Amino acid sequence: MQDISKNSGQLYRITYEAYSKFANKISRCKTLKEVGEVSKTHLKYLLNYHIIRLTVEQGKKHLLFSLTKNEVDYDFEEKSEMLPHEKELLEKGIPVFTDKIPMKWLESNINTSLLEKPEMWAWLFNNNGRKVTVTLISDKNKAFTVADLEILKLAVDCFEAKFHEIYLARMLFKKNKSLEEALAIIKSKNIEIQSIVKNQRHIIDERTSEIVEKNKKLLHISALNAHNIREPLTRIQGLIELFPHYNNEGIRQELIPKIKYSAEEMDKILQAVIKMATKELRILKIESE
Amino acid sequence: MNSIILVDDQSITNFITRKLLEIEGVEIPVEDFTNPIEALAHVNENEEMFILLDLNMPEMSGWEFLEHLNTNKFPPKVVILTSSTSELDQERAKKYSFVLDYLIKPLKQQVVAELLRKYCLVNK
Repeated sequence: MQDISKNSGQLYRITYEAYSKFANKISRCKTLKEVGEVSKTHLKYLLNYHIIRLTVEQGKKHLLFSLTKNEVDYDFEEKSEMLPHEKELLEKGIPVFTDKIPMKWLESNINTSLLEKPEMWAWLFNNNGRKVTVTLISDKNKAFTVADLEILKLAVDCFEAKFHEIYLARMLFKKNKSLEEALAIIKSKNIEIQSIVKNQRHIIDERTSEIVEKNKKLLHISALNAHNIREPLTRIQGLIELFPHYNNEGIRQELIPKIKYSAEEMDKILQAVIKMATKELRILKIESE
Repeated sequence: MNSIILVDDQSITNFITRKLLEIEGVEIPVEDFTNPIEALAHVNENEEMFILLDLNMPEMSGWEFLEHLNTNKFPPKVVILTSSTSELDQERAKKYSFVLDYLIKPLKQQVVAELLRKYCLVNK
């Protein structure tokens, strides 16, 4: 069997095939977990790494992702700090190749006891206008070379696009959720308002009918009063109508006493009306207070 | 016409009406009642009676009085004489075919004269 490492054309074809398979599968991923699964199976054929860490510029924030052999970690909540070399990269853009590795970070992600002479590589890429820093840890057993940079760039492209897509989907979901929540709140408030309005209407109707009833009563009383007052008055008028047919003595004897009686009755009725009206007014005043 | 009947709970009103009738030369008997129940008992279908009826009375209202008369085969002729200026009352009175007129107090001599002429109650 021929040694394929010496046949660069064939090697290129195999790498290309592995990459297209990887890219294809990544593009179909819907979750970060699926990205992790695909990376686990396919990325090892493309390049050597122990961990790849990405920071992706998203507006004013930086989203963090890290890929180990087995999983994808991410921090969408922007809680973790950026590493010092990443900050420097974003500022100056000078690639890093060093054995001074921020161990605290590394130890929290992988088992460092198995590493032999670990090295850290880091670059600043610009993907679709978004600044992406890439940090890669390799060691003697899993050596990374500059020759692998092209394929790493392609892989990072792939990841970054997918991460961006997932991030946007997540934000959309979040926004939709908060919109739904707002909608639910509006709905419940609407129901509340409707019930308040209904209640108010009921109260208004009740008050209105009360007032109408009271008005009717008052009108009835006033009509009755007017009628009652008018009755003795018409008697007085009728008696006066008779004056021309009586002489002075007759007027004094027969008509005046009747006029006096009717006038007194009218006065009694008027006094009763005033008393009743005052009472009604007092009740109205008490009710309105 | 055999007689004129005055029905009003106020005797003074009856006095005034009777006086005005006399002044205008009524010769047929005039009888007056302050209690409409007694007046109703006096109504006799064999005699031709002309009734001047008040509406607002304690023992029996003019309306009840009219209802009683309405059961008669030949109810007597009635003219309402009231101090009520209510249009509702006037409308209500129109429903009785034997109610000829609706007069509002105070009764004037001239109105009495017209009434007597209109219903042939004097020989003038």
